[in-house]
Amino acid sequence: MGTVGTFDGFTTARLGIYAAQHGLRVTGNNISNLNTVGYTRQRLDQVSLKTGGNDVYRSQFDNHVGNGALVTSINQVRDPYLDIRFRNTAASVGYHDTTLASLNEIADTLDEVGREITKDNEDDGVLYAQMMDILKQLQGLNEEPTKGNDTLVRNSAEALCNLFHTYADKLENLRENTVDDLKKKVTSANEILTNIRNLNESIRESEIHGDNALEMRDERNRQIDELSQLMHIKVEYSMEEIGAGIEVEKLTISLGDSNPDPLVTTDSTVLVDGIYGSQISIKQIPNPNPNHDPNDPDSLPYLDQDGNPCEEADAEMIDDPMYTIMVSNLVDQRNIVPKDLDMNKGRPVTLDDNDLFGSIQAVREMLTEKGEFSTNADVAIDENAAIKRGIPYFQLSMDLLAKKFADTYNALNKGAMMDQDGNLIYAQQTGTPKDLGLTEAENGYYVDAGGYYVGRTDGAHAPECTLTRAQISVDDPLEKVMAKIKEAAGAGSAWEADVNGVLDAKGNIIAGKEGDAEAILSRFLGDHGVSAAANPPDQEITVNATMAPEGMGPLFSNRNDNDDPTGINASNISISHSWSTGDVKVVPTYILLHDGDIQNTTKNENIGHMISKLTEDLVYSPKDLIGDDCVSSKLYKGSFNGMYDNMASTLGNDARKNNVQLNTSYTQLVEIDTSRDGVSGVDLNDEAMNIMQFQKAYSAACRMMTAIDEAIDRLINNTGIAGR
Amino acid sequence: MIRATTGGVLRGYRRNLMNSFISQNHARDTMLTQRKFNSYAEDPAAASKAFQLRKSRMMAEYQYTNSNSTYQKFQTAFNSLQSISALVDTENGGLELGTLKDTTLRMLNDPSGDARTQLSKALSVMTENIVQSLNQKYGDAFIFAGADGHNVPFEVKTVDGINQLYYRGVPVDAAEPNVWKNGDTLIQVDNTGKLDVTGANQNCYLKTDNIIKMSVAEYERLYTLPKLEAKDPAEPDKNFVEYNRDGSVFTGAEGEPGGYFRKLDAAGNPGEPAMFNLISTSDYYEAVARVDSKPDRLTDNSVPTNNLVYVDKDGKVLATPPTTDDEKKNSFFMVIDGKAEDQVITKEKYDEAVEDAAKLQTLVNEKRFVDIGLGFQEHDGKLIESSGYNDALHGITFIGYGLDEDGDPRNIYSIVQRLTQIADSVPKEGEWSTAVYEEFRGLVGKLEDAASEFKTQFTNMDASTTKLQNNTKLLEGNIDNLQEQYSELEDVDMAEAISAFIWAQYSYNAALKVGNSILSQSLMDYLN
Repeated sequence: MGTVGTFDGFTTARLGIYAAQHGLRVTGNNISNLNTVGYTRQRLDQVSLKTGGNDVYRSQFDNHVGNGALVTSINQVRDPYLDIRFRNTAASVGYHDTTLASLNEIADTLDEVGREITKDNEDDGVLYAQMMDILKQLQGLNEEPTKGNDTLVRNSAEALCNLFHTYADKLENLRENTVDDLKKKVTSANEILTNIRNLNESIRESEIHGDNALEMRDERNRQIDELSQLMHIKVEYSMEEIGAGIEVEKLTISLGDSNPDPLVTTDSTVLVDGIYGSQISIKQIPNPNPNHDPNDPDSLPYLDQDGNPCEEADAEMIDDPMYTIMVSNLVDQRNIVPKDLDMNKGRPVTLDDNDLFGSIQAVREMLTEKGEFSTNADVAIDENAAIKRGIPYFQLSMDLLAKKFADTYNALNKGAMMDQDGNLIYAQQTGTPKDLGLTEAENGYYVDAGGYYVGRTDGAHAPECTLTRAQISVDDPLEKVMAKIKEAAGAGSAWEADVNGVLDAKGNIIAGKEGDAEAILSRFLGDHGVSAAANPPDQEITVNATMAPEGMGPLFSNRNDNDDPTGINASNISISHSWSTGDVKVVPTYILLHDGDIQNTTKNENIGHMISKLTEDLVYSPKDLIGDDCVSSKLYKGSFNGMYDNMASTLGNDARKNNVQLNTSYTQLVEIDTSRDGVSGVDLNDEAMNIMQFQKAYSAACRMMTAIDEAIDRLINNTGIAGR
Repeated sequence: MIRATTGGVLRGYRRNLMNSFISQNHARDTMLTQRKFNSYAEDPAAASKAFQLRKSRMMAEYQYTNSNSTYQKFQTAFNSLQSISALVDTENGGLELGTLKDTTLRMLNDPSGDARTQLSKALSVMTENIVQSLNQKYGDAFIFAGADGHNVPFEVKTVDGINQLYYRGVPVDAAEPNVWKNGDTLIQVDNTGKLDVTGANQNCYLKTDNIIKMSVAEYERLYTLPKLEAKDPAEPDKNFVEYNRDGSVFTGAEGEPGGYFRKLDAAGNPGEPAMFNLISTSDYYEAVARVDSKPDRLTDNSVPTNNLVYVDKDGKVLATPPTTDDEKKNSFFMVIDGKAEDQVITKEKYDEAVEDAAKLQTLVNEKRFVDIGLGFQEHDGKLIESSGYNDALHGITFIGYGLDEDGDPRNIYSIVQRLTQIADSVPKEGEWSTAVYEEFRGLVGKLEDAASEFKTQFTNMDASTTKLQNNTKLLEGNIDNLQEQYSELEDVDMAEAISAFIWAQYSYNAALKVGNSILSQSLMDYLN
């Protein structure tokens, strides 16, 4: 300004007053929002004003003076890099926090540290101590095999079954609650996604009208922070042209590229793109009919709401067992799909197993991960499936323990009487298979109550064969079967056998090791025996059946009103009906001395087997429960108590590991948040300084105005009056 | 941190205050529960180890119960056996009244039979006491019944007027009879003891207790008279010429000592020099007497004549009689001392005796294992016997069973029964015959043997009882030791726990104070 306007000073002072007043208002706003969650410190942006142009009276010297301060805008103070770090870490905290919470809930059931059944066995555990109580009762029965002691063993076993049920029920309840939790988290995520989308639109509109919508941005940031705990996300800001050369900011949120598989692209699926947003959901599938026979044209593949078989169209829709997450189309508030965007191609998107991270993924893993019980199909979905353990792992471990326990003791309570020299006792019996208590083995042959194949007495065996099939049990391993066949073949027979196979006189293999024991046995029995098909159940047959001891039968069954020992798991293991009525008891001995001429009422070798089984190292194979499709053939080798201890240790280690990771992530998160607060947070000292600063500026501007006023007053009223 | 804002400071404070509170809470829990950890997650390794130790302790407790119970059973058994020991004692108490030894010695020294009947009754009472002692119970089970604790082990049955002792339904004197066998093959005879190859008649076996195998050569040597020179060649069997030792004709009366007959060879010729072929008349008449009472030899009833049975050294029947001297040396007659029909046993009875003997063997080998902390492990589905403790006590291992090589019982009860039988068979006030006396004396000797065996078993029993007692004490110590071990793992040092709690409380209080100053101080407070 070359020329000094008369009232310029007023304008300058006024602008100073305005700026200082604005500063005080911003400071006041900051102080007011000291405790507002998500509030970002605001800052006054002001510039020095200089009026442009030259006038005719411009001085040739550069004596330009500005016209004061101009408030240009009010901005937020944020560090985008800290936001990214915060959100990445928040996903980790969400994941480990949720995982740890679930593991702690499992531990509430399975962790028996410091627990006891009664005060007598302080801190000995509950299920752990109950298994040992069976040992105690068996010891009593071993010492004195009486009905009373048998009842004590049964009572102890019943208590153990009840504990298995309790634990299985608690785990199932936990699983069901976790499903609810997943659904709540999905709902929360959807609410957040909707909010963000709507905020995006509001902010956009405000921006078009020149308002930078700081408060809405704060709310949006808060929502994004919350979303980042539920899933790992990537947040990007870009400029979007809205026409006439005007650009507004656009926020895009996509999944955070969490999947370790580089070929998977769904892990960067866009969730929010400006004013368009999507929703996530759990994949729904038609309820499959477990009894569906694909070979039967009349069999329907699905079940309806009432549990009746139906076609797919009428089927009840249920959650996908893998709780797969799907991402819907991107739509705006009016539910309109963006026309010019490619990203809706291929939507809705079915996410891969590892696309999410954060608490939703943690809940999904808790619901689906089976650890060593994973099948090949599970590993195909997630190559780390075999080392991730969720609620199903612990449920299956309990099932395996219960099954192993029941199967072991049922097997020991099934057998045949032997004489004093250890030879099986078998006798010729005639009747229908049902009368004789024969069951049909899977390979189509009859098996007697002791589990041994029965033979016939009509001389149909090969002349060289002295083997009676009562010597081979369905439970015999291959080596034992072959050894028996070898023993039966004897020296100089027309066929020979060794552990590798059975050879005929010409050296041709008639049964070989390349098949499994059952196949060899079937072949052998087929050559030398009679098949079940040839003897319908109502036809009388004559067999050599082994002699079963009194009270023999399964001790455990899958329901307490039957004797069915198949499919036993932790939730259904029961004392068999016959044991509870006393028709079955713990068989103390399988030895019959001299055809029963000598009694051995307190003989106890089978109870001894049972006792030693309680401490023997047994192999727990997931394949026993899941089948051959299971990737792991050995979960643990040890005693029953050892297996339970292993489960609890695994749980403890997982919880400990997660706790460490949670602590690390949480500490990082707090540090980042504190740093973020260092940038964006309100500090009272800071604001106090601002108050003083703006107050002084305001006072100074006012003083300036007074000074100008006085000066002009002099000029107007007191200048040129000399001589008046 | 470039800026420390009020919000940031407060957030940090809140977090640290919470940590301090959590630490205090944890320290309080530790103090109240007196445990170093309260979940697997706190210390998985220690928790797992502690449970293993607890399992070991629980097992040791059960094993202690078993061991103690077995010890009590053995102690009761020991007491019972001690009372039997007093009865059968042959050493310390042998001279005292009321022992088997004492009573039998009195009977031996009472040939006139004054007190024999009373002593015989006393013997019977003593054996009844022995049986009663062996039928003792511990709890609900009979102690000496092996693995048949629910049934009375010993029973006395009267068979043919004779008391016989049965153990678990098997006669204690059961033994496999010694019968004629060819290797393992039994050779069948009829009920008169004649060879019956086809087994068509009676189906009996020949007991070999009173049968000796004598070589044909030996038999012929013992039971064939020498051919003597006759006075009248026309009557070669009569009136033998008697000679002196120097070959001159004996002039003494017939049968007067000093005379010799001359033996002829197979062809009837006197040998040369004649003096070496003499046999004294007394030797000759002795040979005549022996030949006249020669024992029976086994014959074959399927052959009408020349039906003597020749066997080889293993008892196998020879198809043809021996002819040469060598053959005669290696072939044998079955020479029967007594009547052949008394030597036979029917197949049925033989099988029964064999079965009973096998049963006895089964019984004494029967075992019953309990877990007293020796490992109790199986291998291939069978218990490793050394890992369990065999608590089966068989009464017959103490008082004997079966027959000895003379066919006499080994069982104390049966021996005494035989002794009383013998004593009772002698008429009252009558004297022992030498044979009866000798038989009695022999059995008394066997009673001593049986008593000695009893003492051995009793001593073993004593050792077992002591072993069980020691084992029980050992287990007691083990339990304490295991408790100490897991206590070290689980239990806190209270001084340490209290210090930790007080420190946590102190820290928490300090944190609260800091909070008070944080909230009160700011520049605002100094603005005018």
